[in-house]
Amino acid sequence: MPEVHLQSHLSYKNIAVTSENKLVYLLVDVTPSAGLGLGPAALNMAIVLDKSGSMYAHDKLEFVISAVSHVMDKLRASDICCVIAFADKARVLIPASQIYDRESARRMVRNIDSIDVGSGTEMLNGIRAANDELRKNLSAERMNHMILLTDGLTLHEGACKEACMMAAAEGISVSTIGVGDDFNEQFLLDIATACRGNSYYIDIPRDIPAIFDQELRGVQNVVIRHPRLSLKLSRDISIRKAYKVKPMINDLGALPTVDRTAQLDLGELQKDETQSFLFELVLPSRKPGTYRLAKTELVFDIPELGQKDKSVSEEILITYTDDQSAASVVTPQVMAVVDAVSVFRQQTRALEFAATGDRGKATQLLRSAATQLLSQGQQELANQALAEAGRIEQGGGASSAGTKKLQYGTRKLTQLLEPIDLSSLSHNSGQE
Amino acid sequence: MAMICTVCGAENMEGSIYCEDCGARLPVAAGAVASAEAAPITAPPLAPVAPPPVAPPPAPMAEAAEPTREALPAVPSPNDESGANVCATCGAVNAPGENYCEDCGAALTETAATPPIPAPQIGDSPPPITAPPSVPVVTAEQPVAASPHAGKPRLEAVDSGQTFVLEKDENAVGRRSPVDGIFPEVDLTEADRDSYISRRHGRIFMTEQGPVYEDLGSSNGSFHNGNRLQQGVQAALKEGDRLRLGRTELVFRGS
Repeated sequence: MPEVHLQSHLSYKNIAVTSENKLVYLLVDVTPSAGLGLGPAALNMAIVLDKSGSMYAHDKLEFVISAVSHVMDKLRASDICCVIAFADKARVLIPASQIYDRESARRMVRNIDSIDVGSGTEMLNGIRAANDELRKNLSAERMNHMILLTDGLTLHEGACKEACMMAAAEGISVSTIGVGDDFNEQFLLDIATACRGNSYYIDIPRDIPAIFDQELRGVQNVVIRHPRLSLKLSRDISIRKAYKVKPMINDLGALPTVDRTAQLDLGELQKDETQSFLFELVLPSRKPGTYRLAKTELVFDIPELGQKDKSVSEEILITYTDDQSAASVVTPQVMAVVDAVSVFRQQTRALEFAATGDRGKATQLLRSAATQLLSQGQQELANQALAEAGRIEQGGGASSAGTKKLQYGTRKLTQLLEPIDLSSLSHNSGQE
Repeated sequence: MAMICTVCGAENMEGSIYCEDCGARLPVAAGAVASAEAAPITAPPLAPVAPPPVAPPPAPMAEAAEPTREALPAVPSPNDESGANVCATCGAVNAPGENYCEDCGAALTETAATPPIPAPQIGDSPPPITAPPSVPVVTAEQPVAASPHAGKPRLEAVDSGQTFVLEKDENAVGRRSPVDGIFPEVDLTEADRDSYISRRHGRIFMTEQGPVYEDLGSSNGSFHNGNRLQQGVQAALKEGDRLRLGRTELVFRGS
């Protein structure tokens, strides 16, 4: 049995023969085998915590201490972890090491309350300190990972992204956690996307421990390493756009192809997690018959079994037909994902229009998104979209909290494809 | 037919489900129905192939020309060992066992030892099924004794029939470039007229365990028995192993 299942679905199995180019949607699911009983990779992890003045409001820092103390308890003997606090300056609370004395580790975490690192938000110092600590034990056998928590706007966002991208290039994934309404969600989402991590939005501080627990369980359950997905296209077929759709929707843009092949680095695969991708493929006109559109291939490693560059592949076929009724059949599970991406795209465009002052288009799109959300059973997200449309229409601009709820909420529409409870949004982040 | 977005007015390509510009759901073509099941759109697994005792009958032309013919599933050629799996549509040479052309995606018909058909002009729409001219099929599996190089480790190019004896401890594999001073021991310049093989494509070196192939970062890749080799991965070669470099298929012989 293969260690990873690669499964592909097209929006249409059959398409009508016409003289024009045609668009089809290809959904690719990548799932580690349920029977994979492997020892997950040991961690080399950094936890980077915002200790600026605002973290004292609403007991945020207290919940962070509780969350990280819990992480110390859950680390395995083989895991290496470090903890860094930053405000204006950064300080290493726990240097990269295996945690043998948990009580002492918890004490050091609690020490965050008393250290003096200033009161501003200079995340770059925190990221640099974390990179230094992670590099001490950087290894392909370990799951090298950084968790970044903040509640505010940092200075030098560009340099922060760059530092994270450098870490990612060295094999370190980065997950981001934003607490409250004052952080820049696009900044945190961009880092997580570029660095193959998750991004979470926490509007209620008491949810902080649950999110840390969820993130830790995820990284401690990585079973497939360095998975790389390639899509080799047949001649005259092109990728117009690509999205990662599970666990969260992310716009991958127009994927570049070399030698008609697009490559995607998937980060790591966790046990019981499916990563899914949606490709918009432009097909040329063809005569009736069945053709191969593309070949998907996943190459991956399982260091625990000494396996490197194992691969599974699939051929994607489509039939051109003169039978109009056969060509009108759509694949429901692809349609459900496409619907979710459609809503995500609308809210993204709406917020872009709102930012540039085009209130008419922004409200029109938010209302269109709300209609679709309602038809998908997402009552609360629909209400949120309508509320923001109303605010924008009145000239007030989108609210910070509403924007975050829409941004994170619509990205997670594919997770369950069933109603999302907005009040527990932060419990429902990042992964399946 | 182009689809107009009712929200923003943008024109969208046929088949679009949501607007490329604003994301709004487009009205799905009337009559669209959800399929009852959603089986993966993938090819059936390839059946093991054994050389037939006799040449198969030529492909029936009349059936092949029928435009509504059910093209799937294509049956792997029983003649795979010949290695010549030429696409009747575009003339590309495919690896044995491929059901669909690596290049244009058209279904491959039964293997025949025919020269490649010139690629269609730009703008041509390749017909899905067009059988190559029916000529007697030749199996390429020649008796080992027929080789004058029997007993020496060597690579045989399936398509061109060339044999490359691996005489050195290290043998460069690629295309020659006198200008750059590159003269590989396994010179595939003639076997690869379309230059899918890199000048320094790979190398084969001798170890105590036998010869080992390594890709040196080629542009179009090396495949060992169908598995792509990443740069630097070393694959031990055994009797009958297949290497595909770019589009050129080679068989390793050790005896």
